[in-house]
Amino acid sequence: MVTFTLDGRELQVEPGTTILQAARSASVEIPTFCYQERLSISASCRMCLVEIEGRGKLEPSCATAVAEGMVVHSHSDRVVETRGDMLEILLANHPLDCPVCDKGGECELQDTVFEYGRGSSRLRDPKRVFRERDIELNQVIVFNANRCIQCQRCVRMCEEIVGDVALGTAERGLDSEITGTGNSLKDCSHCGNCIEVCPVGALMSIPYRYKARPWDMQKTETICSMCGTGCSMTVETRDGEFKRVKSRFDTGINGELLCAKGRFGFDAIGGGTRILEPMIRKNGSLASASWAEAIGLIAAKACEAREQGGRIQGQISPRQTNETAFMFQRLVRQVFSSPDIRSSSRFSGLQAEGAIEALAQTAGGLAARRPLESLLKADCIFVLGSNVTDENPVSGYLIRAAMADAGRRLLVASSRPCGLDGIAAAQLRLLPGREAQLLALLTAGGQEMEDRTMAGFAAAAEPVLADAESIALLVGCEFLRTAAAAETLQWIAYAVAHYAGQGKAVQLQFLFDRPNQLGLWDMGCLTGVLPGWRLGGGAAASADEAPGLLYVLGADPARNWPDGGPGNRGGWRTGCLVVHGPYMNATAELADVLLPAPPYGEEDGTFTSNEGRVQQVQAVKTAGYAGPVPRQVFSQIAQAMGEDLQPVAVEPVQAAIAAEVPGFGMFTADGAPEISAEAVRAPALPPLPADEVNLGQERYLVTGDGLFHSGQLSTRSECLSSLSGGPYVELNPGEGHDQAAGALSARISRKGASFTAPLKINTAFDDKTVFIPECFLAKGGSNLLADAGYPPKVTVEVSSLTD
Amino acid sequence: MSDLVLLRSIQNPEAPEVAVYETTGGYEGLRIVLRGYAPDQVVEAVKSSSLRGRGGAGFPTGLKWSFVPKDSGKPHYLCCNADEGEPGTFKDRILMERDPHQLIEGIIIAAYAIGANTAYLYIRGEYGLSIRRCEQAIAEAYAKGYLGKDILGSGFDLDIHIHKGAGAYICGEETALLESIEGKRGQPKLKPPFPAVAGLYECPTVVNNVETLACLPHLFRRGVEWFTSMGPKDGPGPKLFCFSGHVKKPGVYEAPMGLPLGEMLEVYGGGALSGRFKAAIPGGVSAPMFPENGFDVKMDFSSLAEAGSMLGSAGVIGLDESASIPRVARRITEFFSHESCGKCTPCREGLTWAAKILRRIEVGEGSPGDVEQLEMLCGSIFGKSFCALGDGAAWSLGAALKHFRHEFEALIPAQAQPVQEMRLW
Repeated sequence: MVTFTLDGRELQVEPGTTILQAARSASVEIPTFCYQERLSISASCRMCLVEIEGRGKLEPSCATAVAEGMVVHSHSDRVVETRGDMLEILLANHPLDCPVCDKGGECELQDTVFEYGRGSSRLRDPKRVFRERDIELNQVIVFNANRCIQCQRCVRMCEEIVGDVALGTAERGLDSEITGTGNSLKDCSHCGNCIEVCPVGALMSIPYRYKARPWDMQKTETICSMCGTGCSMTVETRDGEFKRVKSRFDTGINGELLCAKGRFGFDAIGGGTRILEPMIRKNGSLASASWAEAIGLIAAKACEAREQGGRIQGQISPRQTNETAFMFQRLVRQVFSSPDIRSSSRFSGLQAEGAIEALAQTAGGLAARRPLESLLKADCIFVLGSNVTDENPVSGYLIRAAMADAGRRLLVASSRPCGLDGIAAAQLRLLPGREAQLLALLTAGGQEMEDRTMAGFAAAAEPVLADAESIALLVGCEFLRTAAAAETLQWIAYAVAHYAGQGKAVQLQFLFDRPNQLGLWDMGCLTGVLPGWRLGGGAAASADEAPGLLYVLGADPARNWPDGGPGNRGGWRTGCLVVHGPYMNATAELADVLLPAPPYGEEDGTFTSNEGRVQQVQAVKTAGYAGPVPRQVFSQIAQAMGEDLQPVAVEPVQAAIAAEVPGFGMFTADGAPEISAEAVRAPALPPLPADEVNLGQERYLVTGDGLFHSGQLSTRSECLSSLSGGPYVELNPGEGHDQAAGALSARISRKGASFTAPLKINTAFDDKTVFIPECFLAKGGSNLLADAGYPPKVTVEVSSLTD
Repeated sequence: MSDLVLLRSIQNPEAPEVAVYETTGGYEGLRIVLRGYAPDQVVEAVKSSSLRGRGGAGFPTGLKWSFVPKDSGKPHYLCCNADEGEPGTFKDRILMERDPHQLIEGIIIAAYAIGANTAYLYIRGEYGLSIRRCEQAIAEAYAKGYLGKDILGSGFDLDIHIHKGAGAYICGEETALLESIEGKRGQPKLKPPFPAVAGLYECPTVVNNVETLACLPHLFRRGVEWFTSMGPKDGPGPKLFCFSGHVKKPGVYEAPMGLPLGEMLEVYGGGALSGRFKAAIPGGVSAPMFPENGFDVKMDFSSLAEAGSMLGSAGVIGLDESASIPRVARRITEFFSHESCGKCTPCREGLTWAAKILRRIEVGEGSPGDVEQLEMLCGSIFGKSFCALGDGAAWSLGAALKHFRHEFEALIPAQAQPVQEMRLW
C-alpha cells in the first residue's frame, strides 16, 4: 500500500492507483471531461489538474500515480483558479445554446461550469461558429460541431471498446472535428455509445431528438430483453410514452455500454399487432370470447387430453420471466400431468439421447457460475461457435475491452465472421455441429483431420492454450440446433476437465441469444429437467403423435417450423392449440384459443443472464389490455380443472422458486467451487457429415441474429428495422466476384422452398456457408429449415439485380 | 575557418559524398567506437562529455540514453528528429544538405550505444534537398559497409529508414513524432512512460536532434577532453546558431557558446538592418524575447535559463526599431495557434483566442482590458498545456507583453470602452 496526503487527509491506496481514482474512492470530487473509466487515459482536458507539493507544474490527476509520501492539493487556490480558467476558455467558443440543446439538464459541461466556473467571462470577442448546421452521421447519430469540447471520449469508445473505428478526428487545433475518416462511418454499429459518453450535446440521438427534457421523464431501471448478456438500462418515459433508453456507467455488467438493439430497439414494445382480448376459433375463424369462456375451453380440452392419456405439450418463449416460467412448468407438470415442456424450438439437438444430462453438466452447474468480468481476466479467452459481436454485442465489447491487456490471447471459432476476428490470436470459420471435432482435436489430439483449416487453427491455438494459466470458454448456442448437440456438450465438459486437469483455472459460460434462456432451464422448462436442474420428470411422448393440447406461451414456433418441426412432426393441427402471448404471429394465426399477455416492458419479474445473475425486469408502462396476467390465467385454468395452482404474485413465486432452485438469486462474484479434474472421459465423437457440399452451387445455410436483430422482437422496432434495411443473403462467393460487379441477388432454395434477397458479399465467410438473418426467414424462407438437420444444405444461385 | 567542427566542410560542394567525407576524418569516430567501446562505454563517454540536446530542451544526451532498459526483451529504436519546424531555425537543414554523412555516422554511434538495430530519420517534408542528400548518403553508407549487417566487422547491424513529415510543427515534439512514424495522428503522448522505456511501437526509443547526433563523430574522434574544452562546462561542444530577422548577415554560424547576445548579433548577424536593435529572440519563437537592454545575456543553456528564456533551437531573430512588437506577437501567436494539435484545452482554445485579441489590437480595435485578457490567457496556458507547444507560445507572448506593454497599449484607441465581463447566469 502507498500512503499519501490528499487535501490534508492521509489515505492508503494500492500501488499504481492514480490520484483521481484515489480521490474518487475517498469521495473527493475532481472534475473531469476527457477521463472515462475503461478508456485509455488522454489527460487532455486539463480539468483535473492538481497541485503536488514539490512539483512546479500542476499535474493531471487522471494520469498521475500516487507515490509514497506525496502531498496533493485538489482544492488549493491555484487549482481552483486553473479550473475556472479552463472552463472560461472552453466556454469562450461554446455556443451556450443550452435552451435548445438536448443535453441541457444532464450536460457535464453545464454541471461543471455551475459547480466550478466563475459565472462570468472576460472573453467577449465573437464566438467561432464551426458549422452552421448539425451533421447527421447516420440514421441514429447527429453531430453538432460547435458544442464539441474535443474530449475524444467518443473516438476512444468507438476504437477501443466497440472496435468500429468509425469515428476519428479530422484537421487539427481549433479546427479539429469529430467525423468519419474515409468510409469509416460505414463501419458504424449504431450502438450509440459515443452519444452516451459525450459530455456535451455534440453527439446526440436522432430518435430522441427534441423529444423531452431529462427532468420531465420517469426513469425505470430494467434489463434489456434483446439477448442473454443481461445489460442494465434505464428506460425513460414521459406521460407513459417511451422516449429513450440510457445506460449508466456505474450500473450493471455493461456500465455505460449498450448495443444498437438495446439502445435503439425499445420502441419494439409499441410495434406489432397486439392481442387485446381472448379469442376462440369458431367455424374456422377467430372470434372474440370472454376470459371465462376461453379458460373454460382450455381446461376442458386439458381434462380431455389428460383423461384419455393424450399428449399435452407446453412451449415457452425464452423472453418470459423466471416467475412466469416457473409457474408455467407447474401448470404443465402438476395440473396437466405432462412432462413435455420446452423452450426455444430451434434447439432440436436437445432431443438427442444424452443431451439433457450433458446440458445439466455444463449449463446446469448453478454454483459454478461466475461473472463475465471474472472470465474476462483469463489469460486465454476462447469464443466457440458464436458470432458474439452480432448476437451478444455488449459481451463482444467487453471482450474487446479485456483485450487491451497485451498479455491476454483470444481464440475465435464461429460459423459466421465475428467482429473480434481481427484481434484474435487464431480464428476459424467452423460449421455449426463441428465444435466437438475441434475440441477433440485440441484436447485429445492425434485426430486425423481432413479439414486443413481446422488443423491450422488448432496449430495456432494449441500453444496459446498451453501457455495460458487460466482459460475462459465462451460457447454460443448455435450447436444446440444441430444433431451433434449431445456430443458437443460432452466435449465441452471434457475440455473443461481436461484443461482443469493441467492445473489451469477454467471457466465456462454460454452465450445465449435470448434474455432468459438460462433462467427458463433453471426453472425446469425443459423435458427431463425439473427446477434446479434435477434430472427426471419423465420423457416426452413421441413427436409423431399429435398433442391433444399444445400451450404456447409467448413463443412463435410455427414461424421457425411451419411443418411442426422435430417436436411435432404432425404439424400444428392439434386437438387444441392455445397461444398465449402479447403479439399476433404465425403460431397465433393457427390458434384455437388466443389469450392476451403483457409483453416485456409491461410486467415485473426477473431474467437470468448468461452469467447466471438473476436481475430485476420492471414494467415501464401499464398493461396494454384488460384482464389477468399469465400466472393468474394458469391459476384460473387449474381452478377450472379442479386443481389449486398457487402462488401468483411475484414475491411468493420467488420464494417458491428459491425453495426448489438452490442458489436462486444468490449470484455473487466469487465462491464457486473448483471444477473436478477427474471422472470425465473423452466422449465419442459425433460423425462428420459424410457428404460435403458441392462448392459453387451448394452451401450450408446458417441463420441467426444480425447486429440489429433479436429474432422477431426487433422486427417490431421501427428504428432497428430502418437500420437493418431489408432482407439479405450473406456469403463469400469466392474469387472472381466482388461488390464492384454491381448489385447482386441470391436465390437460396431447397426442396421446393426458396428465399430470394439482395446479396451481401462478405469475404470473411468461408466458401461452405450462406447466412440469412433469422428474422427475415418468412414462411417460405423458414421452409428452407423444415424437415432437415441444421445446418441444411441449400442451393445458391447468384444473379445480377439489374437482369 | 579551420576551427569549425560541424560546419568544417560547409564550403565544399562535394562534402556530401562519402569519399570526401572520409578524407576529413569521416567514419573514424565510428571505427574508434566499434573497435574500442562497449555500448555502455559509449553512453558513459557521452555522459562525461556533458553533451546537451540541441533540439530545444537541452536535456543531457548521455543521461537520456542511460534510461533505456538493458533487458526489456524488445527491440530498441533510435529516432533522429529532423522535423526542424521552429521558426527562425534552419541549422539541421544545413547539416543534412551539406554534410549528411556526419549525421549518418552520429546515428550509427548512437544506435550502437542504445542497442538499436533500426533507426528512423524523421525529416520534415518541406526539406526536399535534405531528404535527397540523406537518401543518397544512406545508400553510400550501405555500399561502404557503414550500414546494414555486421558494420565494419563489429557484428553490429543497423538499418536507417527516412520518414518524411507531412507539415505539422507538433511532430517535432518527440512523442508526436513517434505517433507520426507509427502512422497515427500527430499528437503528443502522455509521459510517463517516457520514450526511453516505451516509445516507438511501445519499445525503448531514443529521440535525438540532428545537431546532437552530428556532434558524436567528433566527440569520439577527438575525445571527451577536447569536447569539454569548448564552451561552458555544463553544456559544452560545438554549437550552431541561426541568425534571421532584421540582421544584415542572416545565416547559420558555428560559434562558441557563452558569448553575449548583443555581441553575437553584431559579430555574426552583422548588426541591425536599421542600425539599432529593439529586441531579439534567442532560441526560436518559443523562447521569450529580450529587449535591447537585456542583450548582455550570455548565449548558453544555463545563462539563458537564468535570464528567463532559453537557448532552445538557437534560432536568433533580431528585431530592429522598425519592428512592431504587437505585430510580431500576433504573427507568432497565429503560428502557434495554427500549429496547435488541438489535443488539450488551453492550447487549442486559448491560443486561438489570444490571436483573435492580438489581431483586433493590431488593427486599432482594441479595448482597455485587452492586455489583461492576454495576460490571463498566458497564465491559463503556461504550465497547464499538455506539451511544450502551449508553454512556449504563452511564454513568448508573455515576454512581449512584459517588455513592450506600452506598444500594445498605444494601439488601443483612447476612446475605446473597457471590456465588460459577460455574466453567464
